[in-house]
Amino acid sequence: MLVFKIAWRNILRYKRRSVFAILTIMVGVAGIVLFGGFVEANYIGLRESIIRSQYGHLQIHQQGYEINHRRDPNAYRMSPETTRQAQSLLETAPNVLVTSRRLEFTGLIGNERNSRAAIIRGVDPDTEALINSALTIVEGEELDSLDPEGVILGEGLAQGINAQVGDVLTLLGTTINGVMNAVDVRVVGIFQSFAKEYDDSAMMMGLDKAQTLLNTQAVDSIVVLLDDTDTLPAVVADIGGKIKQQQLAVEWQEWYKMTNYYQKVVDLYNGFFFFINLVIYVVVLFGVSNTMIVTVMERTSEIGTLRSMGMQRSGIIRQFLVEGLMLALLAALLGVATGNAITWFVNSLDIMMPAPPGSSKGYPLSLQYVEDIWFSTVAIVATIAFFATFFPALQASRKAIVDALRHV
Amino acid sequence: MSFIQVNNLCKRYQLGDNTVDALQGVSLSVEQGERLFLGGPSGSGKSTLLHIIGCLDKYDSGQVTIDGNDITHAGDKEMSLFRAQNIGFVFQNFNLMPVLNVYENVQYPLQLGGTIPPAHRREKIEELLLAVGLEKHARHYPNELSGGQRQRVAIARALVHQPKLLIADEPTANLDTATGDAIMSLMLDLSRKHGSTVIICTHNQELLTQAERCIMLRDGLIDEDSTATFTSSFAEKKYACI
Repeated sequence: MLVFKIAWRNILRYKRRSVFAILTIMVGVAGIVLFGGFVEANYIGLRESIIRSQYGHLQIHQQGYEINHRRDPNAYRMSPETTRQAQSLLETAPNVLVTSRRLEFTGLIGNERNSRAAIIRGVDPDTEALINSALTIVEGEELDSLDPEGVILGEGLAQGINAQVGDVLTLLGTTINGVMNAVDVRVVGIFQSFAKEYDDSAMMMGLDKAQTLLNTQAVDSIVVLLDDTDTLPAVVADIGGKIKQQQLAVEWQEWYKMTNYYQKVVDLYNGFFFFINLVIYVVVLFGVSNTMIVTVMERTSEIGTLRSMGMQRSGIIRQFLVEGLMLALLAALLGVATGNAITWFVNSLDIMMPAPPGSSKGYPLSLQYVEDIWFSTVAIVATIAFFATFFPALQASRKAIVDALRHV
Repeated sequence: MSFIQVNNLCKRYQLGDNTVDALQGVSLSVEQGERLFLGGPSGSGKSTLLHIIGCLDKYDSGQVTIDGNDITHAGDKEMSLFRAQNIGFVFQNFNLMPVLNVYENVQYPLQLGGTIPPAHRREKIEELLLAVGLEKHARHYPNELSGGQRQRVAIARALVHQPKLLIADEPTANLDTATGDAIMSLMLDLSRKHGSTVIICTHNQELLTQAERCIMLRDGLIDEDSTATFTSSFAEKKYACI
């Protein structure tokens, strides 16, 4: 215990130097905690926006759908029977909040003045509203199962054809038999999703009306929403087992396999985060090294005294290592605490961030409390402090006792 | 066999391009309980000899035996252990640990490998603090003490683990005459009580003239080893340059 007592008292003894070293590490660690919290909040925000405005957590398709549906969409849709079986299987699975059917196709939407190609999604209005909770209705209202002719348009698409809420439009599509078909629909709402490009061409309508237009009872997919994104791997394992057991001819895709946008954003932020961490850790390394080199130099005579009293070389190294680690750990813990205090403060300010590139709406600035970053940062700082202290301490321990005693 | 036996000891330093022969074949023996003063002009080799006998420094040739242990080929670990158990040091600059109080400074050698059982340590420390007159200053830190008081702490620290050998390097050089005399008396008295052999390196003329045994070094050689014949006139005549 004496080694800890001496280390602590030496930290207190050289106050100015210790405070400087602690501040260097503390500010660095707080920066990592804050930026890590910001990055994590962005990951979560983007992830949930993607899940809750387009993809759900999981989508179930007819077997072979992913590879073939672009070439021959009609041949790879799920029959009503398969859809019913899959839905009843999904609804008994744990953590599944809701399932919703979708039929997707392209068509021409317009009025007498303008028309435009659109990506159309026929949906179950009641359940889709839950899945698309991140979708913002900027005008009008959501789809209603009691209003089969109602459609909602993406903001860009509505602007493109100069459509307003209440307008009646004509939707032109091709039936599964290859015959052109048209239905009249009425705009009940205009929406904004997370992706502006999607809003420029997207339209949603009731599934029944879409099936009527395409002259089919099949659907492309069943979208599954879970109560917690973190349970996805367990749910997939569970559902996969049951599908195999029941020999259902379906396949599934997790949300992150359907969009590479998310992974690109994650890779980009990870690159930033890595670089910032690297810079901060180099600063910490120099901060601790500088402090410990000066400490060792100033205490050379003390080293001589300790060695003359019989302290082994390893004892000298241990003494300085404990001191360096104690200083670094104290600073790192203060840094984590400071980072969390600032996180709390920033979150309480309700700051709105501007819309990111490719997005149509801003988002609230939110910083996450990420325990993994706290622990890894403290561990990395401790490791850096170990090496930053070890070499000056090793040098000190190797100093000739007589020379150390003479040192002024 | 003598407690300390030094045979034909040589030590050479390299100072830049120059080679300095600090010791050129020094031989001496010191008996258990003896109190030996080492004197001589600056550069005579007395500190080098003291450091080698104190197991703080290596030498180039010769042989040194302390209490039957030949330290010629001892490694760093063995030397450290030997110092921790057998040797106490008193330095000119006191060399106390600034972050430890008086009690903790005296206690320190016991935690580095002293042979006193933990149950008796407190008693031993308090006994020594009483002996050096610092029992009321046990919780004081070195910077709260005068030079004389610091050196008393250093003496207590040097003797707390009951070393067989006490080595003092200019112990009174940083003290006024009266305090220095008091410190020297205290150190010699306590070391006698503890049965320690004492080797003191000093420039102090007066101490040298009063010593029971004094070895004067010059140019790395023993110039005079005086047990009974050493007189003040001798010291004054030969070492007025000290």
